[in-house]
Amino acid sequence: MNDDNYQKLNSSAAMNSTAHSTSSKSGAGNDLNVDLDTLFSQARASEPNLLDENFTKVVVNGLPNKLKRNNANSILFDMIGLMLGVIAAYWFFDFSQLTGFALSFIPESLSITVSHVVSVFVSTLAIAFAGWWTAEKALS
Amino acid sequence: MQHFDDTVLIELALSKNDQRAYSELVNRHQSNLRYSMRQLTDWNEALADDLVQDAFIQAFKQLHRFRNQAKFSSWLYRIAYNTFLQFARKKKLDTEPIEDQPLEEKQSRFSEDEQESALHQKVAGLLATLKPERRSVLHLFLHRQHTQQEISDIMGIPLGSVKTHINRGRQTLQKNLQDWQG
Repeated sequence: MNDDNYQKLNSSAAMNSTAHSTSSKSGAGNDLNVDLDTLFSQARASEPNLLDENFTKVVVNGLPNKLKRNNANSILFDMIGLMLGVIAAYWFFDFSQLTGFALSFIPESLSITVSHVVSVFVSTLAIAFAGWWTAEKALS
Repeated sequence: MQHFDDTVLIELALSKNDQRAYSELVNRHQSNLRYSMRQLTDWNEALADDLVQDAFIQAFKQLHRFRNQAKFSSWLYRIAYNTFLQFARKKKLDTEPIEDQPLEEKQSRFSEDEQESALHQKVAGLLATLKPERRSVLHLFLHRQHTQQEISDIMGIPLGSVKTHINRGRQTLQKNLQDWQG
């Protein structure tokens, strides 16, 4: 901006009545502060209303399809449901019988042979390979 | 949709996943936010619009976190400001103070076509001499006329920092304005 334009701005800013209220708000007591405040008050008074054009459309196109709900609420509902389920199960099932049934599956003694180790190794390798292959396929 | 207030539109967007309600919110707040962002980006219109678009998308994703204690426009501004700050840090463009930059160079970039447009660019150019946080504080204080407490709430910084930014920022702007006028 050249000096002429700036002079125009300053002179029109000085005529702006809102300038006085702004300067008093910021506590400006000297001429220099009034200059800064008048500049901003002039900008505020002439702030353009920017046309929407395609702006909203671009934003809406970029929105995700599904909106996340409030996590705190959903966790609270899950916890209440879980508590109610546990209370209901307590009255309907004999827990000592259930634990005895589960414990009966645990063997009294355990022996590990070479064939056990080999079969565990081979299974792990197969699972790892299957995982890698699936991931590669998904990527390609 | 146009007669609903912001709270109703937010609830509609949340409960019914109503994108029309959100697009009304965007339409309602885009002008103010785009103008503010232009002021923060030294009147870089394309960059400001990109940042505001990102901010609106971020706001949509985080809409469930919005609490009605704050004004939606203030909450939105904070998201937009954070988006701007992230951009500035990543690009390392505006994190350095540019007081040393000759003001005549900046003056020559202003359009002389329209006096009003030149005025807004001039204010943006003046704000660009400040670091991003101080720039935002001064914009909210001098242009949006928020109180110091409101600025502290909007930007999530202590009240003392806001006061410091205002005092020092005003001095810098005043000095640069004087230099500008010769």
